[in-house]
Amino acid sequence: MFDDDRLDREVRSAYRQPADDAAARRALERVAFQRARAARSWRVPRRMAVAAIVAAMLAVCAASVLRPRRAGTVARRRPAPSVTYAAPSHVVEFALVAPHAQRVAVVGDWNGWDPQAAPMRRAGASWVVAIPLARGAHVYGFVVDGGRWVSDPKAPTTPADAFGFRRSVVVVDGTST
Amino acid sequence: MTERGTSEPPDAALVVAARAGDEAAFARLMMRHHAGCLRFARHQLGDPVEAEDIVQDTFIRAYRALGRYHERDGFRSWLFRILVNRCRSFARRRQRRRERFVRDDAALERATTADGAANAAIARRLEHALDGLKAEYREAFLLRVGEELDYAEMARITGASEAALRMRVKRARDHVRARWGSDGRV
Repeated sequence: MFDDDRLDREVRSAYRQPADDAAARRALERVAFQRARAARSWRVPRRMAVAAIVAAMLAVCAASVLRPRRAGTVARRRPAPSVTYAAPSHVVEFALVAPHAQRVAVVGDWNGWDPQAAPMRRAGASWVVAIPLARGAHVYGFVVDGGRWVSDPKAPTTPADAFGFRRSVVVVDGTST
Repeated sequence: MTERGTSEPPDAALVVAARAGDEAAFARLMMRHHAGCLRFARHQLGDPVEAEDIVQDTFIRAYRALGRYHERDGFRSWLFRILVNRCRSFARRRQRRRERFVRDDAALERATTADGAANAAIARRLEHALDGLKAEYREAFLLRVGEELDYAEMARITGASEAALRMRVKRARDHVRARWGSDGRV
């Protein structure tokens, strides 16, 4: 009679057959097909994304007057809309209020959405970081504690993507003082 | 969890990249977890063809639901929760069709022939040992013994209590032990 450990080892050995690479490829192909089909159905939202970016560019003018050097400041309650500022050096300061977070990073199209690329530093209840950005519109978000995505509640966002996810938008025009 | 100094990025980093639109990141997640999902589904359902379809469906659902994923669950646990639910739904549909829940030897042969006769024989031996187990016992046994999940993680995946899962695993182990055979033969 087998003891539990020996039985489990033998069962596990039989259970863990070699990976079926062909089946994995078929799964990839099917997901890719579904993704392509979903992308076709998202043409209208993508046009809406362009509209959101244009709106953000218009809003940046007001933001540069009202809040010239602070962007992405987060409040628990719904804040007034604002957009990241554009300084002559194109350095944008991002901020997120997250008093209970252990680590926060800003990810965006400029850093390949890499959570390791731009860790933020704690400043009281907030997390801040200054990032030099090229002129133009950028999309971004915050990653809290390694995996939780948070949009910037003070910035405009794109329409929800296929994941139901909204990205924040920052416009750097390089003309502000 | 360490996220630095490893050649392979952790699941959480790949999820972030996938959410941001990095299709390669989601493909890497799929390749990382496909083998585990497929072997579970094959042994849970006893039907390799349906298992492959259900795993594909699981990944599509995971892709669509990625925006609702929270790291506290662990990506693998989250994925297995979807997979287990898909397997249960399939089993219910099969029951409604009044099909018997039996192993499909022909399908099993087709699915494992590429891996060689030895692997096919090993797979048959395990299927023989699992044959006749109630679905919830088989599910708990495969998650515990096959996937080496702890009971807390199993509870999150299955929705059953840890005490119930321990009982299911014990009963399943007794069933398998009686049919396993000490000489390696079915």
